[in-house]
Amino acid sequence: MIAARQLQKRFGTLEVLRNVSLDVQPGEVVVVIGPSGSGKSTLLRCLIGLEAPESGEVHIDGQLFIRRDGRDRGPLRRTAEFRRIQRTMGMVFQQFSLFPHLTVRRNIMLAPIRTLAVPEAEARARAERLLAKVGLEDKALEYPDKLSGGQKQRVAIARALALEPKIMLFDEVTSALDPELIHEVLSVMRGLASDGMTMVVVTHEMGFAHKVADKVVFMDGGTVVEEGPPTTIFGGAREPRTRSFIEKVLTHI
Amino acid sequence: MSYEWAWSIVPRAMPALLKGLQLTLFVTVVVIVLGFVLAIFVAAGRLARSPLINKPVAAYIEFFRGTPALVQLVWVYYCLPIVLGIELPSVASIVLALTLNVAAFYGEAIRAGIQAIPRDQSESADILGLSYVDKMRYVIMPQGFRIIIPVVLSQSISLFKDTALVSTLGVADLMYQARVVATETYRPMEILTVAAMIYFVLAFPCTVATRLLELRLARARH
Repeated sequence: MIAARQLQKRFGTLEVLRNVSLDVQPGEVVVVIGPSGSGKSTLLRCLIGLEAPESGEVHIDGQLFIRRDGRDRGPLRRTAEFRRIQRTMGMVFQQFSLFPHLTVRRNIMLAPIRTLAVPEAEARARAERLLAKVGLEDKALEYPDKLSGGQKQRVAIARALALEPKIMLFDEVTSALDPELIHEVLSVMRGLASDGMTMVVVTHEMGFAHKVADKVVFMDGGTVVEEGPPTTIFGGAREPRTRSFIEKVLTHI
Repeated sequence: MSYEWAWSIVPRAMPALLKGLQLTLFVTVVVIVLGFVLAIFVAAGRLARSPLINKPVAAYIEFFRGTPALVQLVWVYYCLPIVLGIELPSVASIVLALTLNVAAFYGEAIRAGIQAIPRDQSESADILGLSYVDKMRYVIMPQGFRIIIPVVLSQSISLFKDTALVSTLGVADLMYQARVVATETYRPMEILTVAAMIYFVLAFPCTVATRLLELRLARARH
């Protein structure tokens, strides 16, 4: 479903991604873990085309999405083809990024109406259905700043789902939440995973990684150090760097 | 020595002053509208990625912000006809000069308002598949306007007062009429005081309203 090849990305002199490759099968849940600054978020942003790699390729659902050979500069060109492939992916950010001037329902309806030309009434019905799915059917007419962090994040998930994506990317979506609100977001994500959604999740929630992931990818210093099923990564990682990271985050609990 | 005010002159001066005020208001409104439309293109040009577009637009902005409005008025009025070989009616030429002037200021206000919107808003719109125009229209501008409107309003009030400059070019605005009547009646103290009050009575409520609006926009997000 996703095939990323040899992605290289630098910010100034800092190499953020060094030859990172990633494969995600349809319906698979891949959880990316690693210390801050290891390139996890940049990898996600490259997969969905928010960040332009210096070189490398990204294929989405068998179609070439991004190809750069090191000579290209500047942001990616948003051609019609690029946008068509981009919107087969949904993404949720740490800081929610809801549109503050629109109601919850309008936040969800905007893209179906403007991007897919879905009629107003149908878009509204779709928004109501998605709000029910994330347990917020009573918040349709609220503005985002009236919601708790966990509610905002569930609206953000509903908004991303409104374009019926084949892939969902989650970038540290629980990191800005109060601890007691984390579970409500994770349970929505778990529900999506069991519906068969293809997901790439960057998170520090090791419990989620352990229980929900089909594959765990450990990144450090801009490279994929190790990947494997959660039982292997958490139970008997090959690489010392992986083991020491897992040890640190688990003893912390 | 004390000056003897002769306020009785005022009623006789009012018709001329009000006629001048009409032109002042006409010029102000036309320049605000034209200036704002032009400013949208100025802001877009300033934010354009290509240096072939953003550099000349930046130069235009800096030129009009860095030279006195009076010089711009006089230049467009006297020099432009010679350079281009076209004669503009005097009101048209001051409208042109003032429009170019305020569009530079409005344009910068619009650019600043757009750039104040957090980047994740734009990125969210992008990955939701919105076109550039839809992103601007439904996501960026509605939020940017909360920042832009108070700035544009206060600059428009300045413009209203700055239109007095056109009196130096013989355009019969409020200030020009005041000077004419003052000379005719030998009563400059009374007439210019009344003219100042007319400007103030119109500008001050707008200033207060702008400040209230600014507070409201700052407090409420919707």
